[in-house]
Amino acid sequence: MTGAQLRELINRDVDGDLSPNEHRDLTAALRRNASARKLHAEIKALGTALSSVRQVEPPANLGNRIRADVRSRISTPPLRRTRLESLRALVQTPSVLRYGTFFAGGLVTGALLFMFLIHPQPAPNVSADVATGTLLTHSETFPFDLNGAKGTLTAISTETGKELTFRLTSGIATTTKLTYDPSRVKLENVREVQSAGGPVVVNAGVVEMTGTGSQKCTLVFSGVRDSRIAVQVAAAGGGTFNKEIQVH
Amino acid sequence: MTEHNDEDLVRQCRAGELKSFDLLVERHQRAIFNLALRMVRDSDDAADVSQSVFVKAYENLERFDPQYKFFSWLYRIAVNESLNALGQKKRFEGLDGNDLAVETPDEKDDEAVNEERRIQDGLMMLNVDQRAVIVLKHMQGLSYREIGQILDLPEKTIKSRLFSARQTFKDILKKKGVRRNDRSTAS
Repeated sequence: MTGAQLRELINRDVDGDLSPNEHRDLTAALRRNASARKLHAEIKALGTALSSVRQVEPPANLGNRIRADVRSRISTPPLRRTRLESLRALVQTPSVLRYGTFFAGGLVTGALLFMFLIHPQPAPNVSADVATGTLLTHSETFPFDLNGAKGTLTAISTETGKELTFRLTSGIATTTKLTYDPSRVKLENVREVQSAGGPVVVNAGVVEMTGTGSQKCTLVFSGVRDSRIAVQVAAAGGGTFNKEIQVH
Repeated sequence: MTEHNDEDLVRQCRAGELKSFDLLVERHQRAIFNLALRMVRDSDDAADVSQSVFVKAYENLERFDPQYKFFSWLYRIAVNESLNALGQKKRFEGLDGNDLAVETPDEKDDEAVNEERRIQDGLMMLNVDQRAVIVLKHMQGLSYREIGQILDLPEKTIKSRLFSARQTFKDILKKKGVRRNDRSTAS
């Protein structure tokens, strides 16, 4: 058995991957070879140390954050193909069924229109968990058009009011986000800077959008005084879009 | 109440039942968060990665191939998102020169925590390919085959990458002085 084969057997033994014959061969080799025994013990101890690292509980609000974010994108797939397939299937059905289905669809549409006119629904930018009646998100979307860089800036707040997520979508459908936390702004592109006026530390962040030519944008946010955040979108092709957002 | 498996929940979600996706989030968020945490180290970054993972999973649910396990697909997204987060952080640090990693302030300064911290520091000294196999194997307890599916690599490559990662990690920890149970002997 070569040294490489022995090392492989040792590693696979630690992973519980050896057949009985291989295990027997390894045991025999270890009995003869002191350095192999040492390596075996070390690899085994390493596996034990790694496996003993405790699992960490995720932040308590992570589930809500995810649900809010998913619901804010509810207009995007996964339903798209299903609906397309349903429509295709409908067109291929016999005419009596088809016309019957269209008639029923018309009735439902009429009823829905009636309901909307009589009972105004909540604003569409608010979503709620129907089961618990909990308000999940409140979002505002600001469209911009900066010398060819068209897109939207969306601010989404969670029910805790402790987070505000910005999503910037430019013309080539690149998306990014920043998360604002009143106690501490923290994301990979965020740094703390000293305000020019005095000792107050303000939080600021910069995110460069991946894009090409005039589609490229930069999202800058700063100023966390009086619960207001100044957000600026700057396009590589020139022009800026400014918005001040109140954090509740 | 009937416990639905992941495949059922994915099917229901594709049919428009958002509640089913909530159950998938509830079921897998802890594992995804821990995977991300071991990859990127910072807890806030790991939470952001986890959020991106589930949003991407939702947006791409139609592309999920049911012949694979749903969690393998989620883990694959998680590894990719962790690499993206590390890449972004590196670019920003390159510009700014500051390390943004934050220690959790309320960590107790006991021996176990110190040892875990040294292990996490050691993980961060591995290259990301080696780190991914170590985390998936030892901290998520996955098989060679599952890791191969997640990283889209043959089992043979996973084994050789894992074995060399262990060797490197062992050397790193030796230098950092992590206490090990050296009483372990051949089984």
